[in-house]
Amino acid sequence: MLPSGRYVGQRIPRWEDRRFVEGRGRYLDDLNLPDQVEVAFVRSPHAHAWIRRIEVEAARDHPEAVGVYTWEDLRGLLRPYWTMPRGPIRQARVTPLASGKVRWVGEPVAVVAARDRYVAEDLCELVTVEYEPLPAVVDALEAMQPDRPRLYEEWPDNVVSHQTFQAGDPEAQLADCTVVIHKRFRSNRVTAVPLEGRGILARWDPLEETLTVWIGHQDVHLVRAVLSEILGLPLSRIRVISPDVGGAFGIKLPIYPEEMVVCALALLLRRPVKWVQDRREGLLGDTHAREAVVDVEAGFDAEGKLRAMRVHIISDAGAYAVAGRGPTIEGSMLARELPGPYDLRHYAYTLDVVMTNKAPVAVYRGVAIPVSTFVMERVMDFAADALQLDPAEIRRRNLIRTFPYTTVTGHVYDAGQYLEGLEKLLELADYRRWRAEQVRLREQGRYLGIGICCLVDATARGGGFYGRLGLKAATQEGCILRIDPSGGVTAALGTTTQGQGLHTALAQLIADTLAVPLERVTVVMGDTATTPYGGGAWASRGAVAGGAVVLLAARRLREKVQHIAAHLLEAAPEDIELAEGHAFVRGAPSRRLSLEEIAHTAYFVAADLPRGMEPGLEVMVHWEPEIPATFAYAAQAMVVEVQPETGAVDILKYIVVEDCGPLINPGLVDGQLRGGILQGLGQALYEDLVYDPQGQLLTSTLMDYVLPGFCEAPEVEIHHLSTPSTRTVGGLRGMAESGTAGAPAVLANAVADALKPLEVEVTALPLSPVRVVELLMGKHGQTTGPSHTEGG
Amino acid sequence: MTGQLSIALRVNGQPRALEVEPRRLLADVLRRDLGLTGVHIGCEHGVCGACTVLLDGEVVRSCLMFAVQADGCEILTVEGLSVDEDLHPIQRAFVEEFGFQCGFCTPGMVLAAYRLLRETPHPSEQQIRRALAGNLCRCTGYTDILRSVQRAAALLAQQEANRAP
Repeated sequence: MLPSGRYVGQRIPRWEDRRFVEGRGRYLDDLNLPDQVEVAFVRSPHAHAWIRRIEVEAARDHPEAVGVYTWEDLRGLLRPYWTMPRGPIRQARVTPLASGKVRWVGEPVAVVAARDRYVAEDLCELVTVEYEPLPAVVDALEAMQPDRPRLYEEWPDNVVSHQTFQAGDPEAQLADCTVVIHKRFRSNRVTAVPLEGRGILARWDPLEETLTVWIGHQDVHLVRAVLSEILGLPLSRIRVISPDVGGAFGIKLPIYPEEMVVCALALLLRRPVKWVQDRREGLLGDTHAREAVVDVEAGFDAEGKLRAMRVHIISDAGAYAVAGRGPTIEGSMLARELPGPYDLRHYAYTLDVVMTNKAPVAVYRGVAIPVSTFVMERVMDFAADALQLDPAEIRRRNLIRTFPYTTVTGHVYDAGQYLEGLEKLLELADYRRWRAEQVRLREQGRYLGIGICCLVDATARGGGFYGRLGLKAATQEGCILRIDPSGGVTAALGTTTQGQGLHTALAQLIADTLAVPLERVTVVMGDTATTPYGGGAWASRGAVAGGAVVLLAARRLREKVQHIAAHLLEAAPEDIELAEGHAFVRGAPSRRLSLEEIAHTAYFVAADLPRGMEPGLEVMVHWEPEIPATFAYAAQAMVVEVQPETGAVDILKYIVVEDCGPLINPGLVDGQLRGGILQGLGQALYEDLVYDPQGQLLTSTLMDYVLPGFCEAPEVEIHHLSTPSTRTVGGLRGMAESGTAGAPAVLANAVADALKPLEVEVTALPLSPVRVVELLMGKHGQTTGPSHTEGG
Repeated sequence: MTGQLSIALRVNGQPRALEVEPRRLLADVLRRDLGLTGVHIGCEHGVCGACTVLLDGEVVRSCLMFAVQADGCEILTVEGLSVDEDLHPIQRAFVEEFGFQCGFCTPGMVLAAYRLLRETPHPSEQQIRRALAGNLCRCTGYTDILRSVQRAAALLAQQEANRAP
């Protein structure tokens, strides 16, 4: 359980906020060092080409050039790396600057260092690269065919990973089903677009013989581990600091080629080196996400019970593997998490992760869950339609009801209220009234649609999720917690924060456990020199893993404080209570000591401590969820009206019931949900990274890649269930991604429902106005097989 | 690679004389030459609004202007809003209503709100959405920003009422 006290559960404004409203945040580009140089990259204009010649002399000889470098110049400083250390995967060698061949538009080919970015960019114009273009493979379905151009010549085709799985007997079950939904679903390629792009500043300190790296990043310990390998420097000679970060959402988890090159140049030039990306570089080269084709056969019995599923997933991984994450995470998660909150015993999947001449794919908020939820929830609606069941009813019949529940792919859902969550949603959404309203409006020729979706989000990964693949991304978290001699409390954690408000949430937990005022608590994150090893910010693990370690550490410190106070006050430890920064004897509040007095004894008069007790008031805790993930649940409902003439989708009502266990700070939780939801709606309605057949990205500005703005943001009503997890400290579950995960599904279901009288099939995202109009004109129904088959 | 031009600006009330290359963006000059790093650069093509400043009282994108174009102008950045230790009521409202997460869009949002509330002290929801539509936020989903601006309007009205004799 969470501690009870003044702070936990309260909507407390973030104490880290003042500097941000005053414009005094310290983001990467706000940092500059004396004598620094700035770099710009010469990038490939071709999606696939041999490099025949690179002419750098004109740039190198320019009086304002500090240096111009290609892979040949840096190969002694940077080691190539491989796709992924372990796992069912083909290996390819990746070099931070292109060597011999380019594989995507935007790939760094050379780097120019100069006084500032203006000059560096000028000098890039003087670098001439001669290319011999090759045919590009842009579509994953095409790229996986055996006779297509190959990105990596040593491979027989472009499939980087082929995985299969079977549980039960889906084939026999499918043959026996009343209805089999047989569809092809497509999810669009999107990217996170944090408002602050990526950037890095690296400095070699010749006195300490240490490379200090400032980088806006989600996992400083991972950066250090990867740089140590790539640069061949001992871990102890690298310090990584993440300053304030202007959003990340997953794209600041890998370590990118530019970042490796900047560090190499800092070693080479013995001067601080800085690179800050521009937005075009971000859209071209930040990791992309979500592009997948999913062929589904899902069989239901006459009662609407899901009996079996067989799927083929083709995940488009782009052109290379980013260090620290690898190319298969999306595809393999999509395959494993597809059944979501529904009971399923017969399941088989084939997964093909395919390399294409596009930007690399890795993690973006929600990772595979927005796609798996979209597919699964569309399947449920197709089945409800075929069986003439209400969409709510078919979900009632399939939601998991007894816990703990072990999924067909081996996950354990520890506890949950899936059905209760759906019923609460339907009631709050006034579901029946909207159904009646829909009938009334249809008679007037208006297209009102009601969508619902249910989902399980795999949060706070545990069990060495990445470590088993040989990656140095931790699922454990570490905390050093100290009460200092002044009675102040400082927690240092291995994780990081990029705007989630984690400082405040963790301080609330600490303040209530130690019964001190919130203002006394300081939380330190994002610096490898001052924080213990931890896993960084991903998979909504900040509050779960970070919360666990601060709770465990604070409980241990509390106990020590009680023992010292008991000894000094000549009472029993169990009679010592803590309140308002003091320890006192229960029933005798005048027999009391301040935390400062206790700390004074612990640090400066250790001889007065109980016999055998270690001096000081400092503990270190490491904790890892012992299970693969901590599962959160959400149910969402949406009412839309679609304008068939323009394809516009108006959201009339949006309501969410979500279960992340107990809430530390509802203001922070709701903010995460709302922000996540709008990112999900961005994918559902607007955002689409479009490549032409030659592999040119057609959406490389924010004019083409449209983010939802103020006028597009719906009012979202949020309600909470609080089912404590039986597997985490304090019962916490992650919550930062369920909004993103549900939004595309609930919107697609609502739009499909609205357009039902027009007999169109919604199987692809996004549902932008132009796509909706195309759908209505019959141009866009990319399905295979019959819409459903009547069987035995 | 080019010569320098002399310009004179009034920034957050202070006169500033500068020598700048004609091609340097106003955003870069404010950030690098004047140290006003509350001016954030998010897209460099005028879409995101993170670099918003007020130029002679009007909202402009400092990434779309050369500094020389601002010669003779009065510029307000977010750093010019708070007086001494006190946050401006708009800044206070953003803190109290969770009006941001990562903080990167915040200076632009606060300035766009400042411009709105100067002439429309009691804006409707629609007016707030439209006035801030040129500023992107990727974190909040905008709802808490809307509430922040509504609260700011209330705080300013209260301040006005307290000031009245």
